Amino acid sequence: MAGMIDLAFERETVNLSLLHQELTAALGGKLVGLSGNGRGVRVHLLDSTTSDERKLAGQIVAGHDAGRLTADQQVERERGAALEALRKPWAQWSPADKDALLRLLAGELGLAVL
Amino acid sequence: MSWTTPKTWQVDELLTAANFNTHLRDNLNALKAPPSQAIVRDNGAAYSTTSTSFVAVDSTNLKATLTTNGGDVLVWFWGVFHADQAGRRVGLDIRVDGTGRVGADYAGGLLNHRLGTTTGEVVNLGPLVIAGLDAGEHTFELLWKTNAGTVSLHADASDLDDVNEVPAVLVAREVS
Repeated sequence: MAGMIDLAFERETVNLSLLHQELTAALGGKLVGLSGNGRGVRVHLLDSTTSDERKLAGQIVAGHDAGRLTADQQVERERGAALEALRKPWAQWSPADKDALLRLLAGELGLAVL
Repeated sequence: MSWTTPKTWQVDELLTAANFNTHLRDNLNALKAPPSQAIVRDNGAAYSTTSTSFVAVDSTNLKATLTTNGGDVLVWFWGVFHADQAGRRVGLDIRVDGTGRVGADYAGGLLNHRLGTTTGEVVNLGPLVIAGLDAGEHTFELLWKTNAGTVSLHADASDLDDVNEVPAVLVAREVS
């Protein structure tokens, strides 16, 4: 697209959300976003990026650890685990389980959960 | 079979096989089978993007190419999307002949859909008439963006979960 360049890298395994955060930390607003197709990743940058910034983007992609999670992904994983723990007969539910469900539902509704 | 503008027949004109073949047979054949491409894409994995500006989903495999007779082309797309969090938005648009986008007057694109869950849901774009194209080769390319986070488009014939084992479909067909 106008005003943008794409850098293409061959990488099968990418945590796109995490890599986006890593590149944003280094390049700020010059990062437009990333796209992946299971075999590679394209880094969309403003065409005002310098050659040093493009080189840095390449280094970050090369050093990316797809096994790590973003904070949001960690929260989502914990939420899934908490839900999974509640999959049991109602007779086995403790007060703590019911409190946990209430917290999950409150989170779903966008209410603050302390 | 290409389209020929039908001739105007004159009183007492000799009806020739050549004229019948060109103006009737060939034109009927052209109407029966207009330039058309249906892409049913198995990418072997989902496509994903974090881009907040429109970018091509796949500038090689989700781009329809037609050699038209001049006129209007109908374009439509459907696919199953998911996001990393409920509430993400996916914007879709079409780029014709490699420049701009059809919905350029709209920041959100031709379509901007809120993904309500992190499981797959179908999004349809079109049918959309791209009007008044000159005769010749034209390309129609799917663009997308998200407002935040990561959105994904399923296009996989071998997904572990069969509800996600669906293609991304892009169709373009000359209609006038």
